[in-house]
Amino acid sequence: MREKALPRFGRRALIGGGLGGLALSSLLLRSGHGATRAPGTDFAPKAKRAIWLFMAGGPTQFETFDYKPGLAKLYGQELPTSVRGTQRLTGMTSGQGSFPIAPSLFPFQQGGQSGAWVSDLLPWTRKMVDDLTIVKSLYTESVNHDPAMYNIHTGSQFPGKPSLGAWLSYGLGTMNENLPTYVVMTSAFKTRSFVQALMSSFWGSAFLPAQHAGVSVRSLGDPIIDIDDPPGVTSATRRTMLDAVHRMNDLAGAALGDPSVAERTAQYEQAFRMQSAVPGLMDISGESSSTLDLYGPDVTTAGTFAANCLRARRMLEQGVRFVQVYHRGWDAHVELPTSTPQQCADIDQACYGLVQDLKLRGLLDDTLVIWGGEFGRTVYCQGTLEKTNYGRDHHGRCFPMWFAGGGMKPGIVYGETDDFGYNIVSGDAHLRDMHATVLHQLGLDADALTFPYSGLNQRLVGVDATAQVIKGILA
Amino acid sequence: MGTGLSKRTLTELVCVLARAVVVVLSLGCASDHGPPEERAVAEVSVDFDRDVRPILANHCFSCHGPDAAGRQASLRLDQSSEVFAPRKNGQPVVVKGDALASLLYLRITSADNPMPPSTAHQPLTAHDIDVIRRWIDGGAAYPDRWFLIAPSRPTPPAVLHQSWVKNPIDAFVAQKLEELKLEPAPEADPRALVRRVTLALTGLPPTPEEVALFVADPSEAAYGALVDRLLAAPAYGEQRAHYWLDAARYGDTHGYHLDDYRNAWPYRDYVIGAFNAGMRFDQFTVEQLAGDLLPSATRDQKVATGFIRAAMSTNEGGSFEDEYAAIYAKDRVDTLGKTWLGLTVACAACHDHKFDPVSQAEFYALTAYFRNSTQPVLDGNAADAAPTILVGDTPTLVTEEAGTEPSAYVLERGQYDHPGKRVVARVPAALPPMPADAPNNRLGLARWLLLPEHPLTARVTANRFWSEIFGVGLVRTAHDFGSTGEAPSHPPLLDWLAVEFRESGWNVKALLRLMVTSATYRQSAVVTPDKLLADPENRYFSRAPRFRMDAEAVRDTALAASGLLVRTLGGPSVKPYQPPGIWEAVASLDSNTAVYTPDVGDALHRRSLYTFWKRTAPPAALEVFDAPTRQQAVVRRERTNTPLQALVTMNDAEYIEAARALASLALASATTTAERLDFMALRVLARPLGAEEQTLLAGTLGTLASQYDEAAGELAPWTLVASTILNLDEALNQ
Repeated sequence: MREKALPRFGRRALIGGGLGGLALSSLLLRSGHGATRAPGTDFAPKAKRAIWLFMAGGPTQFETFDYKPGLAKLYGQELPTSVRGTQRLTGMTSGQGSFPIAPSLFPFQQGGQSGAWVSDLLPWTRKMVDDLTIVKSLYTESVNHDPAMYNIHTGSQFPGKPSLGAWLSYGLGTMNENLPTYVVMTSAFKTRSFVQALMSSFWGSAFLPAQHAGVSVRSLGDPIIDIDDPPGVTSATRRTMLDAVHRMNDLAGAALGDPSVAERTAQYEQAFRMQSAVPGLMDISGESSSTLDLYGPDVTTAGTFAANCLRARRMLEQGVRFVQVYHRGWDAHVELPTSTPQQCADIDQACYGLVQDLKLRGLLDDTLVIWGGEFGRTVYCQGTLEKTNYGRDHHGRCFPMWFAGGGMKPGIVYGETDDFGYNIVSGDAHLRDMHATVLHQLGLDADALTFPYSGLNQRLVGVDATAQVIKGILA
Repeated sequence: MGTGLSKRTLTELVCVLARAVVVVLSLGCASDHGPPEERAVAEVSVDFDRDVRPILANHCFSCHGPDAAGRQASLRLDQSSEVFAPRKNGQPVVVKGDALASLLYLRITSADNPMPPSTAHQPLTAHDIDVIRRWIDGGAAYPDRWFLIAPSRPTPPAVLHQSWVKNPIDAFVAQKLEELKLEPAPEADPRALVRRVTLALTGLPPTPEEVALFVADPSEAAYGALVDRLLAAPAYGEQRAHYWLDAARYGDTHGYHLDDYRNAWPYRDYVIGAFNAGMRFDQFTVEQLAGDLLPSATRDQKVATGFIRAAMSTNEGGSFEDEYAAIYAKDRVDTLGKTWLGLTVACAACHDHKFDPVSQAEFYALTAYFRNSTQPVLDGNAADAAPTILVGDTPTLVTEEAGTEPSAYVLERGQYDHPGKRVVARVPAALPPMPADAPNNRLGLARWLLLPEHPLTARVTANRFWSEIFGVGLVRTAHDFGSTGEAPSHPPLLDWLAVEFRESGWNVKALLRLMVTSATYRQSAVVTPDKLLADPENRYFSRAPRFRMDAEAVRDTALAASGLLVRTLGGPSVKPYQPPGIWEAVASLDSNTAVYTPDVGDALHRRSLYTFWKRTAPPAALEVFDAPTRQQAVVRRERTNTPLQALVTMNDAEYIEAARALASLALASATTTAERLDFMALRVLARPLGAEEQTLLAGTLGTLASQYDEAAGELAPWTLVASTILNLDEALNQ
């Protein structure tokens, strides 16, 4: 009847039996148990930790990383049906009588030694293209937000599967005793239309043990729910209270003969350590002005994407395994020329600052930075196309992401789309391939990282295990 | 092993009874007892259902199982007829009694051509291989799937501990304990017992008066009267409902997209009312699955179909109606599977089930029952998306049958836009047929579940109630009784309970009464080192169940002990304290549940099952304690132990308020420090403190008083002492 304080074990382990929960606890405190490798494969981890800068809503590829100069002269022309093919469109545009091509209103320029094209909406990102691995050829089968968000978080379009971060926590274990292993932060955003909801199950553990779920670290109120002592409770009185809990539990545990009592006490002690560690984590007063300047002026405003990126760096430094920083509002069905520049301004310098900051601290080599959202957007206009105004519908057949550090090949652009930015021409990579690649860089074999549930060896990449590491982007 | 022959003979004998009951043959082979760690291997005989079928299911059935499309080498290992049928070479893959002559064994031990292939990433352990060898050498008994054979009532066994036995549950438990050479624990202290049973039946701690009453007379009759009183308390229905609402995936929002509010609470109140009224479980089943189809259906019977409407729904712009219609239907069959069938039927949405006899066509034939409703696919983000019925002035969601014959398309690979052949509603062939006179709709489906010859419903339901009382099911995988679920710890007990439950008229209160009046339940929770080794997880009930209370009970206990709890029954959901920003951080700006504004007054202190459940951001303090999101059916909650839980019970506003209220009550009601400490302990732990505890906490109080400014007065240090008591392991456990 003992509670699980740590990952549960399969039926095999239980039948084999014998190890007590406490012994297991100490064995597993630091190491995960999903990192089994097939013999003969080299899964030496390139990264110890990762951060996903999550652009929720589906950022446009046409105004960011997929430069299509040829579209300008096709302004307003019908997207050839040969390009559109027979695949499904969302219900928002499937009824449109016309699919007029909407070229980007924003110019592109090349950056760095690599000469990667980046739009003028992301000047800071362009400055660091030599640090980035830009992939233009990801795809997903989902074309609406809820299925697409579940898909890119969990590898399944429906609720009920663990998120990538939960798998990382399960597979790799924790690197610290004071902080959560998987942290989630949500950020302020400027646009005010088409803001999709997030769901706690996007960072949930589903059937994995609950301690692998992402812990929300907030910018308003307590950074972690209830981490601050209530008014009137000081660190000293808290310690007195905890000592009493500890000793009372020891008495009860001895009378019962039940070691699970000590496990509860241990969780209270960890809570106390978190209470000491987290406020320092959130306090950026010790950061130098040169560091703050990297992230841009928003960095001192709590809750901004920039402020969250800086705090994320502090967490990664202190042993948090995986951080997901959300930025919402990328769902530009209408008035894209107004909203997308705002969105880009929210995140551009902060992304630059984070990557440079990690680099300056020598952390980029073993930290994988991931940028991207759940899908891309259509080349054709949703609604009426105007010279200075247009919108784009959801598009799953190609969308961009970029990576930095963590053993990725820097300064490259991977994959190509057709002249319309509609279909992938080369380097096609399903989101599950991306998942497999992320796991691989962190030293996990996507096929071997399994958890038995409902009679199947569940995997982030699906029970069929058909995902491939995207080898072409690895250093 | 010298006793091998007798073991084999006995094993085969048992198998003749159609079902290899877990039998440890310690009676005949006492000399086999080694150190406890070795017992699992050395002493326990191989039992097919418990030991072998799970290995075959997890490692072999994927390619050699029920899924015809995925089957390799035309070999099926999930049917005994095929396992023992001669293959092309004239030999079966399993030769009874001779592992070394069995191709199955040779392949799983082959160095150069092993099964399962390495590409399957399903390697067998040395222990697995040893189990297979011993199974084959021992005669390779291969009984039919126990969970597809209707239970018949076993005779409670004669046991050595006959005087300990209070009802048949105990006979089955004692039999197992005797096999394991374990003694039951002595009866619990009356205080521990009254607290345990009150928490189990009502989700609330006993009042000091209730404790005193039982301590004064802990007789058999008094215990029976206590149980009857608890079963009659309104809190009983609330406690049962919180479990059922997990299965019903009840929430106050749509769940997808904007996740707006919906009027679902009348259904929640129906559930509470049904349990409190002692509604028969068969009626409870029929009303929720098909109340609208009953002749002259009452309003409540229609409200009951809110069970079906509790599924999530969407109004996301651009959604494909066909896609969501398929998602909804799959969810409903998944819920039916987890809740009544104990089968993972939804696994057959994309292909034939890999482990259990449910084909893909049968899965879609089940969805047909639920696709025949008038519910529009898109909910319009409305609180009252049709069809509805008025409860007072609240239109609440119900289900209505469309006038067509229930049918569905088989969706190839589960894809909504790849419809294959059309199938008419039908129940899986491996289960009993639908009675000829039953209507082939949801009403027929519900009645089919309740047939006496149905092998699953009564077992699955009795098991779930058992897990509510004992903290873990006899089948631990309460949602999966199939090939890959765990075998029952006490198969005959499960069957006895199932038959007893059905024959009692599906009487839930009677079933729970049997459980909590058993000697098994009334044991002390004290565990000995021997028991920790031989029964580390208490699967064999060698002591009382002891486990951390559910999220709701953790909070409700603090409110009740501190006198804050408001006992109003039912009504619209409430918004108690919640740390700010939890909805705001994730909600769509356009959602009408984007901003959380706590209620004021009584609504802050209602029982937790009335808390507003926004499915994309569930009540934070409950979720930390493993409350599910209510997006999908859950019949077994996780029970974790994390630092985040400690933060909630130490620091959350409602727990601080409860500690302060408890301290104030103690200060007002008692004068000496010792009396005040006991006052609080009685309300939280149902017992006064021991001498050592008194000294300890008095010392803590003194230290705290010295740490606080004198100006802070008495209440501050006493509040932290109250918080200490509320945070004890004992306070969090039942």
